[in-house]
Formats: sequence, C-alpha cells, structure tokens
Amino acid sequence: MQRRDFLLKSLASGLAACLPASALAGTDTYQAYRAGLARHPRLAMLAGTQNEMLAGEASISGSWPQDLAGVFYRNGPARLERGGERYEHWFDGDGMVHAWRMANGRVSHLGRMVRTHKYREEAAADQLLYPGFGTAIARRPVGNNDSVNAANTSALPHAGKLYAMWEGGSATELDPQTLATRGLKTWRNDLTALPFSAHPKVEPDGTLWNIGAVPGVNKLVLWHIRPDGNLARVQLLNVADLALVHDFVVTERHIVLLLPPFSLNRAPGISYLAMHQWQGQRAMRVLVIDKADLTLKYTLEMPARMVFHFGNAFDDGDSIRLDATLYQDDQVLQEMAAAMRGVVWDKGVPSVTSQLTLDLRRGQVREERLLDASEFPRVADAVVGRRHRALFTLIEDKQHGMGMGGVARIDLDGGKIDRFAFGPDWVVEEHIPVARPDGRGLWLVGPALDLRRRQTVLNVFDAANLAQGPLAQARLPYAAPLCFHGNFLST
Amino acid sequence: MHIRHILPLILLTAGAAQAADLTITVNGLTNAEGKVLLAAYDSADTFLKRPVGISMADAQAGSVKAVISNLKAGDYAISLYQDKNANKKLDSNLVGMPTEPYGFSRDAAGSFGPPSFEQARISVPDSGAEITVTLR
Repeated sequence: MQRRDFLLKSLASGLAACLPASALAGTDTYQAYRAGLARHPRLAMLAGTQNEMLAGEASISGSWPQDLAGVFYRNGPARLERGGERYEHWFDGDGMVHAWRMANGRVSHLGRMVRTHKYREEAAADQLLYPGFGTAIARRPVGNNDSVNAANTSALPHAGKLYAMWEGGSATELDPQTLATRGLKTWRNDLTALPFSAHPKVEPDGTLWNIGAVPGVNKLVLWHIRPDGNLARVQLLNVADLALVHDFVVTERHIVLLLPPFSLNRAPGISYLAMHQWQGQRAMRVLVIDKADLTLKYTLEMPARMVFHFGNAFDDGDSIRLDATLYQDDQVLQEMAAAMRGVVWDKGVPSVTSQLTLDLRRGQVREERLLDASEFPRVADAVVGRRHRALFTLIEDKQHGMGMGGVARIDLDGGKIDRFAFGPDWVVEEHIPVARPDGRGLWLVGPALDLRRRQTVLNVFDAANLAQGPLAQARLPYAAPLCFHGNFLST
Repeated sequence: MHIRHILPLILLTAGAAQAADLTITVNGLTNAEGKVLLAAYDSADTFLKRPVGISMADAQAGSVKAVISNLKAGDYAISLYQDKNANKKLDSNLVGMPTEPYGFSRDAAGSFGPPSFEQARISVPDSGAEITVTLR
C-alpha cells in the first residue's frame, strides 16, 4: 500500500463543509424556563414532551367535513430537555412527526419521535451529547452534518414516501403509516449528508425543488427531484458569504432566494447561531436562478432584512412577484432563545408579510406591505410557482404576548384581509389550505394549543370565510408538542 | 563473540532506542466494515499532506488497536479513518464533507475545517506512547 493512500487531503477542504463542532455545554436554562413558566403561562407552548409516542382519537365539535380525507403530516422540535438540561433554542429539539388522519368526519392523531442517530445516542446515554443550532454541546464527536441531524422542521409526503425534513443535512425517511424511522435518505452516494433543507417546493405536477446551504465552503446546493421521486439533477452554486438560509420560492422559470446579511464568526466553541453576526449596513441579496440550467441569472439587492418564510412566487412579464415574511433584523432569533429560558420580551419583534416585485430588467426590488404582525405564509398546492390570489398566514396576538393568535387570508387582488383571532388562551400553529375534492374552494386546516385545558385542537375553516370561526374542531385528550411546518396528503 | 556478530547487535539496539512505537486505540467503530487507516505527521507544514508513519488494522465493531512503529521521539499529530468500502480513500460528498468515520489525536476538532497540527499534537518519547481516538 502506498503512503499516498493514507493522505487525508480531502479532510482539509472537506471539513470546511461540515457544520462546526462546538465545545461548551451546560446552562441554567432548565431552571430558568420553569421559573418563567410560572409568570408567563403561554410559555407552556415550549414544554415539549418526554414521550417517544403520542396517540389518540380526537373528539369533534361542530361538523368535520365528511369529504376532507387524508393525512396531515407535521413536524417540530419535541424533545427539548434531557437529563436535567434544556436546549437554549427552540430549533435545537429533536423532531417528532405527527400524522393527523381524517376520514368520514373523524380525526385521529399519532406523534412519534424521529429516531435519528443523534436521538438514539442521546436516549441511550440519557444526556444531551451533540450541539444544536443554538446550543454549544460537545460530549460526542461530530463527523458530518448528519451526526447532529435533528429532523425537526417539516414533514413532506412525496411520491409515496414520507420525509422528516431538517435544514442542515439529509431528509429522514419514515414509514407513512406507523411513522417508524427508516433512515437517512441518500439520493446518490456522493450526496450523502448534503443539506436538503426543510422547505422544498413541489409544483402541481409533483416536480420537487430544494436548496441546501453549505456556509463553510460558500456553496449552495440546488436539488431537482422528479415527480416519481427520483433525482433529476443536483447542482452546486458558489455564493460568497453564505450563512443561514431557511426557505426559497420557485416560479415556472426561476428559483429565487433571499440572503439575509450575516457574516460568520468562526470562533471555536460557540453555537452555529452565535456564529451568525448581523450586518445591517449590508444589503439583502436576491438570487434569481434559471430552472432550465440551474445557473445564477440575476443578483438584486434590497435593504437588509431577516427572513425565514415565503408564501409563493410567480413570473409576471419581466418581473417576479413573491411574498415573504420580513423582519428588520435578526432579533427574532434571540427572542426565541429568550423564550426557551423563560423570558418573554415586552415588545415582540415586529414582522410584516410583504409582496416583493423583482424588476429583472431594471434590477430593482419593490416592497408592498400586505399584513403586519403575521408569519407562516402558505398557499394552496395547486398554485405553487403560479399566480396566486390568496395568501394564508398566522397573525400574532400582540395583546397577550408571544406565540401566534389567529389565522388570516390576504386577497392579493384588492388587499382585503379576512381573519379570525382565537383569544388569549390559545397558541395557534401553521394552518395550510387544502383543496376541496368537489373543486369548490379550499379548507384551511391547522392545530392550536388550548392553554387552559392543555390540549391540542385541530381546526378546519372554510377558507373563504375565516372570520366566522372554525367549521369544526377535533380535540385531543392531551397537548401535542408545538410544530413548525407540515403538508397534507389527500386520500 | 566475534566482532562480526556484535556489530549487527549494536545496530539493532541503537535502532530500538531511537525508534518509538505509538499504540493507538480507536474507539467508536459501529461495524466491522473495511480497515482503519492511520497516519502520523510531524509538523504543521506537512500535516494532512506528508505522513512520516502509517499503519492499519482490520475494522471490528467497538474498538481496534494499531501501532505506528519506528517513530523518532518527538511531537506528532495523528489522523485516521475507517475505510469502510476499502477504496483506500476517505470518501466524501459533493462538497467534500467526509462520509466515512474519521478522527484525530486528542479527538481534536476544528471549526468549519480540520483541526490544526497544534490542536492534535501529541508527544511521543523514546519509550513510546499510547493514545485513544474516538471516530467521529
């Protein structure tokens, strides 16, 4: 054997592509959260669960639509504590995937922890071992991004498969019936552990687009998956100063990303979040990529903003129009960290859902504000990448503190807002539009936590009339951990 | 004893005094696929480029031992990996992220990159040394 065989050259460049291994552990976050909970009952939303599985039949109030049939898969960080320690950021918790099954006017719920490498090791040790997004722990060595994959951000049914999605590594395949973990999804051997982020866009024909950010080497991964679930193309794009990128949008011809202005502090021993340093004097870059050849066609600039989520986008002549929920800066990340240790900021961080018009010919971006204090924008599956008329969001409950308090529909032609607020005892989760099988409009479906009774309730609204309140509610006999995102599979 | 026999004996003894063995226990193997390949480097300049000593051991679940022999007393950094598919290279993905288990002496880790020679530096005296590395 030649000495050459032992050269670990690829390590020199390769490890730069991995998330950093952090070095410090331990906080009093666990105790602080409990103290905070006594002062702020709404913080019960961040209690999480110690259970591996939750299952129950919902009791229905009102009349659950007989023809609303399918499975609403959702995902969120559920295991937030272990061995007397608590994560410092909501994004760190291990994912629990939920299946809300509905047929013939009845609703059942199953929640099951995703048994990732990280979860299995930590469960066996009964101790937090690996770093999270916002928590620096290094009790076990980290090999690559999938060593710390928390599979906690969204759930996606696609081409007969079900995936638990995370931002920094592979998707995890689950059994769509039992939610048992099958393992990491590897599209091709050389794509092992490559980020496949949590907000893929599925066009009406089933074509799936996704991104993955690799900040260490300033490379953006572009994924194109066929409707049958097979890999069509994967492409790397060099992007300078790449940092956290959570979501994106597609049109019929383009892939569009907004890049909030961060620089990365590569100091050892700090969390991935702590590495992100806001650069508010810099512009937010808008990347417009051609779907045909996956090359960067335009880079536009707009004032610095933080963004997680997009609604939809469409081509409009020489322009692209898209909606996104924007923040003035990155404080929202700190606000969520504060809540994990029981601190509720007096004045929440303001958000606004806006429609941006990208004038590709002039290279200009125009912002039209649609709705203040809103988040979690969604559109119907049938209009992804096409012109849409209705955008659904959650609305904040500024009066009663943190967490979302209601649902809204924004009519993009005319700007009319239709909304429903649940009241002070509720924390509302992402609601998504679901097409009625008779073609006569949409339902809006989503859960909310009833803080008074500590139970989770699934709501169904007539999407054309949110203000009248839910048509029906399906109430579980327990509180399910709060989720981030999900998708509906009609049956 | 004839001088003819003594000379080789002296040389052998001298060689042993100046050549230390480094015994490396590698922990954290989850399976017995392939071999563990190890390399020793003696300077920051040559780290991950030109090894001064190498070794290998058949993989087995749990831990394996390997010896890098005939090292001069001095400071070294060790890198190793489990070559699961026996293709004699550390496999990596499209962006170069390692996809086979690997590790460094002192279980050193970098930030967005490999550790430095300094971070992984160990001392090997004339009498040899034993270290433990956990695969990541």
